[in-house]
Amino acid sequence: MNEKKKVLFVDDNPMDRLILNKILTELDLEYKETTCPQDFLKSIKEFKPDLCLVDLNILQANDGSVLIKAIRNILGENLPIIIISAIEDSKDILFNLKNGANDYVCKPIDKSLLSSKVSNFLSNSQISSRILPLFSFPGHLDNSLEILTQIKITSIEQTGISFTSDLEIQSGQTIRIKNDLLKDVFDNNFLRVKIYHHEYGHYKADFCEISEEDILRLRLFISKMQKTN
Amino acid sequence: MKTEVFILENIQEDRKVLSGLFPLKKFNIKFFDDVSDLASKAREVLPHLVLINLEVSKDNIVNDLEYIKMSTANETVIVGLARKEKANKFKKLQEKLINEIWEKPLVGMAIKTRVSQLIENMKPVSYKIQIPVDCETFISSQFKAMGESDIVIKAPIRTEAGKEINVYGDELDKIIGKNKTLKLSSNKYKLLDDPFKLQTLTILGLNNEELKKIRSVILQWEKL
Repeated sequence: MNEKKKVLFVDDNPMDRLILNKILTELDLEYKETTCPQDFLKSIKEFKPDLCLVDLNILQANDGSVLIKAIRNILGENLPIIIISAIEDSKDILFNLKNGANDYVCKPIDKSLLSSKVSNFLSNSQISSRILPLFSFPGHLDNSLEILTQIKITSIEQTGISFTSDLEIQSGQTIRIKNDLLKDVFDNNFLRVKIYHHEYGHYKADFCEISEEDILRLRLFISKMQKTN
Repeated sequence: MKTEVFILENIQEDRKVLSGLFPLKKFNIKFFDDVSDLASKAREVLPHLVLINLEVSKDNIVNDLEYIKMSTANETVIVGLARKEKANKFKKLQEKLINEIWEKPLVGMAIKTRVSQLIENMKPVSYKIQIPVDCETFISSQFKAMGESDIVIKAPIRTEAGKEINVYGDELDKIIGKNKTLKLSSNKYKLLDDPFKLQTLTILGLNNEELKKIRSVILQWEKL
């Protein structure tokens, strides 16, 4: 007979504890509730949970974050942790995901959502290598995405531009730039440039599909800029 | 694009010699008798190289050269031509108005080598913007997988975890709604083998209804 999986949770709100009790009972899991970080840390070594649920705002604002760090320090990376957070805590959620938590749910706790997340973690036998289930985007759907970012154009050359970017973009990539700067030269609303060099956030890129007439117009435009500035 | 060469030279014999230095296969050569004509055409075509017989000026060679400078790009190479015995007289022009002086007669291998070197070392016309200009830029990427509050995309970018990233796509918008904040959470999944290409983004600001909607969609997909 399989042993029941164990869940340890911490929440200082009695109503939320009641909901968690109900959900975990229905999932047929062995669980232990705690109301403060100290009790939680005391219990964690004896109870040996397979999963932890941590309310981010237990007693004091940062207690949940400190607790997550402590769990990681004591037990390493393998124990899955789900944060339970108020919806407005999105910054905290990200901070704690970086800090060692594996997933989150928001309050008010949704029974079916939390049940599925808990089940997903506990049914995965290779938690250390692959913590959460991921689903492949279906092949028959359009998988194209665009990342919008800001670059700073620092110079214009007769065949391309130089720019800086906060994002590290791979060399050889073609990117699309909104044409606000060279409207006098190119009719297009967007310019396509191919990155051929980058170093410490500084990039050089060539215009794609540029004709000899475009180059001449660009040369004249640049020459004019040189003289007027 | 052929290299545009403008030549101010009124001696027919020297024009012939100069034509021989710039083969038509690689160069467009235009001869001029007058500085005004050269400058006017330069504003239309923007030559890469200007050769000027320094002895041809009717008024003042300095004024003529300044006029040519004003009509060409900063990178346009200006070469002065002068007979050997007169060349020294024009040396002082080399500081600001001309790049170099070639002494006539323009014969022998040395001058051919010099032409090749000059063409090789020509700089592209460029303009450094004093205050860099912000531009919206779009980088193509692909939707690869999704978890209950994360998406995995294949993108040619890399940045520090926690960075906010704006990602758009018709199918993504249908699932998570528009204008959702996505933040890079690179250490969340350990199955990603190429960190430069595959990025995990956590979708923030989702309420439970939205999380449930995502779940209902992805549960119909195949597990990765």
